[in-house]
Amino acid sequence: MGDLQRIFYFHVPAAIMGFVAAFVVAFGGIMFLATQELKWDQLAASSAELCVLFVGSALATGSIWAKPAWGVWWSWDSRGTLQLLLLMIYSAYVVVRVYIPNPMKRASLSAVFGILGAIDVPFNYASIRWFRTQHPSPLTYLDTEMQVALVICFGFMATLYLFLLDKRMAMERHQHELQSLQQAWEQQ
Amino acid sequence: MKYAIVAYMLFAAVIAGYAAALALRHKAVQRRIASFKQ
Repeated sequence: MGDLQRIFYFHVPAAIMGFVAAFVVAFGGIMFLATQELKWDQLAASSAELCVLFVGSALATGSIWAKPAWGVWWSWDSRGTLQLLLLMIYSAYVVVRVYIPNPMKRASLSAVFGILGAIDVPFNYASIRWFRTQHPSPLTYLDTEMQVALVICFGFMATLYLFLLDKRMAMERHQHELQSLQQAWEQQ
Repeated sequence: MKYAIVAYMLFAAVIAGYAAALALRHKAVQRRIASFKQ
């Protein structure tokens, strides 16, 4: 495979961070439904956007790898299809939120949508074990140097996710403040 | 090698583009908050 295998070092961590982001959306949704506190909705909404970013990156890099490895840009195998579905679910989540002005109603609907969307993740993760697929099988052995490189890339990707999540949540908090100010101004 | 380079550059461009767009969106929201408070 030669230098083409280098794509693996950030394709895999990006895909895993996409899964983590989807679970954080579901966690935020569950916590919002349990407590009715908007900070959990802010966490879920921020993570959903990052889920789209990481899953989209994993799909794009996977497609670039597939062309020289399989001879096609895209194959409708179970992993790729479920990954595309995950991307579409959370893209819809992000878009639908824009059209619901009431914060509590938006948070409730988003919570349910986010929890249901995360059901894709375990199926997606297990798809290469359950189904015959073109996607490479789970790794059973990696050379030490490859392990080190992969761990570094996982660390980088996790740091990137946490950094962007922090920035996105700060913006979400300010957006909430702006909405409150607008409502107060309209009532005057 | 060229496929790996294209993939790395695409990934870097996507992340940098998102981070820049996020910073601009945040700045616009902060500016609107400041104008409301004046």
